[in-house]
Amino acid sequence: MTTIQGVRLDEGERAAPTLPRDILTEELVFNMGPQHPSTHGVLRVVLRTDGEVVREAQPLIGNLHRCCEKILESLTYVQGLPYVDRMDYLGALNMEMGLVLSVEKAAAVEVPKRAQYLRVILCEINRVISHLFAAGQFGLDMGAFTPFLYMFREREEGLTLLNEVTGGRLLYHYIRYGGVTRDVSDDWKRKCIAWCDQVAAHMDEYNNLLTYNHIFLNRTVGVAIIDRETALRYGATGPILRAAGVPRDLRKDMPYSCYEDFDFKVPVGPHDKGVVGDSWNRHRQRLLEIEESLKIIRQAITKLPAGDVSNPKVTRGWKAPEGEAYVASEAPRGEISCYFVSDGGKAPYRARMRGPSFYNISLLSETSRGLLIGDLIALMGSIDITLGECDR
Amino acid sequence: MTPAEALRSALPDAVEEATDAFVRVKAEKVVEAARVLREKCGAEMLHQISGVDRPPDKMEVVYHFARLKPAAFLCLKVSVPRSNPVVPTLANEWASANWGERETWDLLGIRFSGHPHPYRILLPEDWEGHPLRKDYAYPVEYHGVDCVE
Amino acid sequence: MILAEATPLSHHLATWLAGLLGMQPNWLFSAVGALLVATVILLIVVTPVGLGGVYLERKLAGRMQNRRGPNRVGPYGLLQAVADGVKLLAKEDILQRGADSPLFRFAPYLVFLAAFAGFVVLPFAPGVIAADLDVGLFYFLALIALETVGIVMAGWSSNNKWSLLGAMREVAQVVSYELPLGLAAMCPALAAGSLSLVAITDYQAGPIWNWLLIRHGYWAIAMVPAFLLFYTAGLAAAKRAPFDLPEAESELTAGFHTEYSGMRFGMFFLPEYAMMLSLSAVASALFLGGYHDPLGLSAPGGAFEGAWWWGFLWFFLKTTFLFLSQIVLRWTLPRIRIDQVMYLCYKVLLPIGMGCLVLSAALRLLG
Repeated sequence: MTTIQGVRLDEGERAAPTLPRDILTEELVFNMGPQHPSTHGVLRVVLRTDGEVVREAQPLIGNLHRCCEKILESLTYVQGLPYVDRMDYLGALNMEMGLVLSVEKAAAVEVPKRAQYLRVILCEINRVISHLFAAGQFGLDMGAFTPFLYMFREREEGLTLLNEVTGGRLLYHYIRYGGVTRDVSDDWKRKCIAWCDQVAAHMDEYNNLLTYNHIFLNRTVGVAIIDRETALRYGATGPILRAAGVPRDLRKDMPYSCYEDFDFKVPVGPHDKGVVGDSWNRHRQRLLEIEESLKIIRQAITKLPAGDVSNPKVTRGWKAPEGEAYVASEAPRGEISCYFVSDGGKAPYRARMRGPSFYNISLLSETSRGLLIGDLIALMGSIDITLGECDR
Repeated sequence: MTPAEALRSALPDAVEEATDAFVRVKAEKVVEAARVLREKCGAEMLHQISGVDRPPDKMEVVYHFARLKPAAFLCLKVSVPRSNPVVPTLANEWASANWGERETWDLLGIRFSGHPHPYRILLPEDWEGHPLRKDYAYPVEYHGVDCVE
Repeated sequence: MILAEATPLSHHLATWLAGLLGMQPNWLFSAVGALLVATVILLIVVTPVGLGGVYLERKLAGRMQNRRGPNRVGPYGLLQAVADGVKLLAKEDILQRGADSPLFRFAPYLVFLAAFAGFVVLPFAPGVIAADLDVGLFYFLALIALETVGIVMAGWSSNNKWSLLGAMREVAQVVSYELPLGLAAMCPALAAGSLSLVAITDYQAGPIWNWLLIRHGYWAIAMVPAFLLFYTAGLAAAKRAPFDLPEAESELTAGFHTEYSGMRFGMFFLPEYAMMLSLSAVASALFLGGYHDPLGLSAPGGAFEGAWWWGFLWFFLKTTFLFLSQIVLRWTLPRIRIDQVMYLCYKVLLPIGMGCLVLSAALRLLG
């Protein structure tokens, strides 16, 4: 029994005991099937357990494969844009950025500054509501129903804000090549800042109720540690990598869309409780990133420059000239990128999308050995996967 | 050191083409090339594996590696003949290549020799064909379900 | 006959029935009489538990979560539980192909039986009790163990590995937590010198400082931890959050009752509220004075001595308070993992229980 920063870890009890041969029991092989409340989508995990201890967990993906890349090659540029929204449907604007940035770099399309700021504002609002969902969902997996609904209260107002500008609550089709579709009003800017204040005011409530709750700490501190080496080996990015102690955030390291104009910190694990890379740190990471995103939104709204919101040269039948590009951006769940190749035709020649959850899920089999089933739930909830961007 | 310089000095006869954006190496030498990028250029993460179909006679596998400090992406390209696309696997050294290569095999049909688990990942195991190929014929029916619109 | 002596009401009923048929009252009529009385009491009890408990939980949960709770069916949603009952009755009864059918069908009835049979020893008011058994407390604790059997039957016969896992967790949890529960329940029994719930309640007759929880003469040192222990172990025995692993929604889909649909599921659903209620009632009888009011008016010599309506009011208030606190706890706290649940039981609560028992014995010996 060790004590780390005031929280007891019962590692000793969980080690597999060596039993004499005549009372060894059989192993259970069963399915944490595609329909399960905790798999965050249609993920199938085949478990081989010795009672409650997981000996092997194999994730089987592909249940939500919708041939996104083939469709992007068949439709024109503007027609194909809505399909990337549906990759990570909880952070849809960031998905749009993933495709649009690569195409704009390959085609050398200029984006007006106002449009870039608007992209930043809306992507950060999207990041906040996605992290609220993820943190609440993690609490729900741990059995805490109420913080989930409190976070949805803030999320609801954020969705209303996005709805007002883009016309959609979950899927937006707002970011286009060369800019965005609509401008925002002063009234909207005022409401947005009010919403930022509201979210910031409730962060204490979430921390008291969920993050620093003793039972929650016992469930998540020291559980399912994904350390720096494992995360880098499997290509896991985003909050997982930062909670593991790697200070990588593409908004700072390879800035895009005027992120270099804003002053914000990148929270990096370990945080005040727990071990670096454990489930608690990943949860805390998301809540800290919400606070940083609120700062970005406030700065961007105050400094919003005047100008156009779209590039008039990009019309409905626009085609990118021959070329290729690879640009990565920071989505709520990790790094999204698109390897875009064009041959001058009416559709992309190859638009290879990288969904962060594809790589985040792949470390499940290695990290879950020796965990209890309750810890496996903590692992999956803290990784925060969305099958849409995994399967595309 | 840029990838082009590092690869030219370490594996001079494997480099086929080198620009600012990417380095094309021979298919057989891709594992060594990745090792050079890791040791000499600081590539720490295999960010993405993409397969590109270049009919009529070529297929490409494009590897993007991520360097953390200073942040950059290092690109490696490999060309294989379309009639027999085989590339040695990176999965034994780079764990993120495991699923990436499975997906490339699944959707494009490029085989990765030595892969520990060379099975389809996104499509069902009994699917026929590789959909992302440019000459892919859409199936008419699957398990009794009509596929034609 | 023992049955007739235990309940004068059933004895009257037996004599009346026998007279109706022109026969002498023998054991058969006594049994029938006792059964009728128990049935009537259960019906009076099951309905409020089913309707009221479910409604209270959903409304309170809703309000805690910044939403309204049921408000469509009937005024303020009061008929929601009725609607739920009708829905459960109307649902398709799915019997799995590979399920062990006799066990599968019998398991809910066993759980229902165990939960509601505990109501016969609850002292609702002075003189209003279905059966004032001399070993009432022991009988109550034994029934909790019986419920475990039903749950394991349900988990096993469902032919579903997730149900099996839930049932195994449940066995481990409930059977383990019976130990601290029993130890904590022994402390008031020691103080009152009897296992009968009526005797323990009447030991606390008088004003509020006669209640065992805050009793004068150093009793509180043993009783306060014993009460907290009883409450916590009761939460675990009733499988309520934070100990609701056996039916952990987000892990096991629905645990041991995953494969049950329609009224069979209702047979698992109702006993959960029954257990919550009966544990609250027993806790209030053991520690909070049962049907005695804090002013001492129902004690011998008081103004409302023997008034059943006064006693019932106070019993109702105390039980409802504990019931509502269980609901609030459920919707506030996350779930504890199974090995932590076991650790808590054997390494924390059991030693505390033993300490309370020894203290209570010492206090009793010293007068």
